[in-house]
Amino acid sequence: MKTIGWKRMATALVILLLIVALAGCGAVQSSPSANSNQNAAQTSQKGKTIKVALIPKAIGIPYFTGAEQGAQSVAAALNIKLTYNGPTTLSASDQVSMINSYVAEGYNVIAVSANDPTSLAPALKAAMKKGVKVITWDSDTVPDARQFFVNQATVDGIGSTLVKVVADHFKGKQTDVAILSSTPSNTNQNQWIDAMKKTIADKYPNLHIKTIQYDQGQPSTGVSATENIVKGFPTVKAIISPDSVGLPAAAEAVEKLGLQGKIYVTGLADPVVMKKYVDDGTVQKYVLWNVLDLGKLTMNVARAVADGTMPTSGTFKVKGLGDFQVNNGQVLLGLPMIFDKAATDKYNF
Amino acid sequence: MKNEPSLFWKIMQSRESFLLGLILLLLLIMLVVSPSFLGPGNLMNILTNCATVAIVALGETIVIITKGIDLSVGATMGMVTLFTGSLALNGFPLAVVILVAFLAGIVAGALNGVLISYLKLPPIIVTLGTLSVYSGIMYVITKGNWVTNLPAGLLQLGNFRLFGFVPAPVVVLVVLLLVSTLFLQFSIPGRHIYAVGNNEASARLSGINIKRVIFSAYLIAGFFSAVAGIFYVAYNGFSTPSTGGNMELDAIAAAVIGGTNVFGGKGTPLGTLLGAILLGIVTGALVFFHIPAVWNLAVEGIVILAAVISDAALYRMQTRRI
Repeated sequence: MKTIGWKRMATALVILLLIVALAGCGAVQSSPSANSNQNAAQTSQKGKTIKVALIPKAIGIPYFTGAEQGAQSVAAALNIKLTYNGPTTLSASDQVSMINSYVAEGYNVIAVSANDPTSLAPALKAAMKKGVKVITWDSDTVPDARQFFVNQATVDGIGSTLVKVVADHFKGKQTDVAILSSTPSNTNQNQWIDAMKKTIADKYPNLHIKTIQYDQGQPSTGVSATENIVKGFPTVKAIISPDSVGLPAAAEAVEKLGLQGKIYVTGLADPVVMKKYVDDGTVQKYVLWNVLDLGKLTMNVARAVADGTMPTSGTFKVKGLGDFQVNNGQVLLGLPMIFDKAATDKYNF
Repeated sequence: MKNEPSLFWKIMQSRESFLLGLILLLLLIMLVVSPSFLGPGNLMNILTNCATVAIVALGETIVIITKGIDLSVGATMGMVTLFTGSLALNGFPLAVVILVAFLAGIVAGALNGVLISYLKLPPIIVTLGTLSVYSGIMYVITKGNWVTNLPAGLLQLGNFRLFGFVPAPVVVLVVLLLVSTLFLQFSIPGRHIYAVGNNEASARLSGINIKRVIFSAYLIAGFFSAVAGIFYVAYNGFSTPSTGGNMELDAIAAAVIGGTNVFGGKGTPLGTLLGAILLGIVTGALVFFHIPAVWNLAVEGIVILAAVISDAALYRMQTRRI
């Protein structure tokens, strides 16, 4: 067998180093906001400043970026030194190593949107043993691995609101509906779809779900799946996509087929992504909870948990945000919002 | 019985005509079961929807013919969608956007090429690594945001229709199909690609610069991924940092179904295109048959296996005849 010469090894190393250097530049560029925050917090010098790590399922999803914006907007006022960071893919094991390092760095509160209900539990329990307060937001772990869960919306709330948007539009008319989900194994999607089916069975017998297709998280797959739905199920008059890739993809496909106004498209997605389709009239209404408020509420819960003033049941009052129900460690954000054109223009996440 | 092969056998021997027959048979079944499948525009839709995969697969085919494999083509395409989208959003003129996008794809391909041909590292490991690097860069480009609400110029590029009915991605696909066929069949560097894949040792003895041939194959794959990326984002109107995930598998599948031999030396662009079309028709047909979508992946897998098995069977029958 031929061996690789020193020259080649050296070249390979140089190339690798170049890649690492490039990646490093990118990382430095993307974190100035975190640095400036730290400086601001250090100058305030109050003993009550707490360090909070806000960990999303993954960075790079507008939804979580919106939650970060909300959290940042209230962090200073709550005397919170906020670090927002998460894995680049939906990885629970990456979250575990982040949690461990934040505990080691002496953070007071860890607020995580869990990629998996069980695999974070050992790390979170170890954190609580060391006196770190643990809350989950957006996506819960098993209850004994955290102190509070900030629940953005209940499964029933989302399912029933999505169906209500369609039912209100068709006003009792017999209507065939198709669903465009992300992947067949996505727990959230499947729970929402079950809740939609339940709402239809209970309240809207005029709606009929004809098919469920999947976009696999890819825009092009969403577009072609929608085209296949429209051609393969000619009676379908409404498409509900409870997925933030699927909804714009469905809108794009309906536009390409020239069926605006003939097929009603709605679902769950971020305003910044839906703007184009709302502006040109392909989509009139869609659903999402207020992600900014989710970030704000999570920060307020973090502060209250650190202060020891958070009630495990009852009402949690937040000045300027409202009153929130707390049930057995679950803080409810409330019913999701129905976004129309005006709301789409107003929000930026 | 004479040893003269029958006409049917001759036709079956060509992978392209075998696939074409299979596709026509499928369409015939669809015509009987669900005539609307062949309705106006739907066939063009299917072709349009498999266009980006097919373009990526054309590049992959050239790599596989050299006995290599490129797992980074999907990530390269995804990376280009984000470069294209964010440059366009920042107001750069379309020509600059396209130039930079091409450059990104070529650099990505060249990096693979250097590591594999000049440093002699195994293709599957190198491109597995660059797959991660390029997917990682996607998060860096936009700091994780999506590209959406794109300017009209870029969207027009992806949505123009030649003669009023041939969508842009299909036009590009046809052009690249012709170019790559001419390149592989009639140009000297193209023939060298087959020669290297067939027998590296004898190719070297006949004076072919093996390193340059292998390097150029990965460079071409990067370029094709760039073209696919530009039209992906221009046609679909938005892209995310996970765009192109698993697309390398679809591209390899299309090439293999199309008769490209993973042991090198064999494969044609037309076969790959037919492979991509077959996959597209199967996915579409499942919806028309009202089969629950959870079956899609399994059925696609069966099609791939059927292609590989039929290939092996045909090969064995062929060698027995000789």
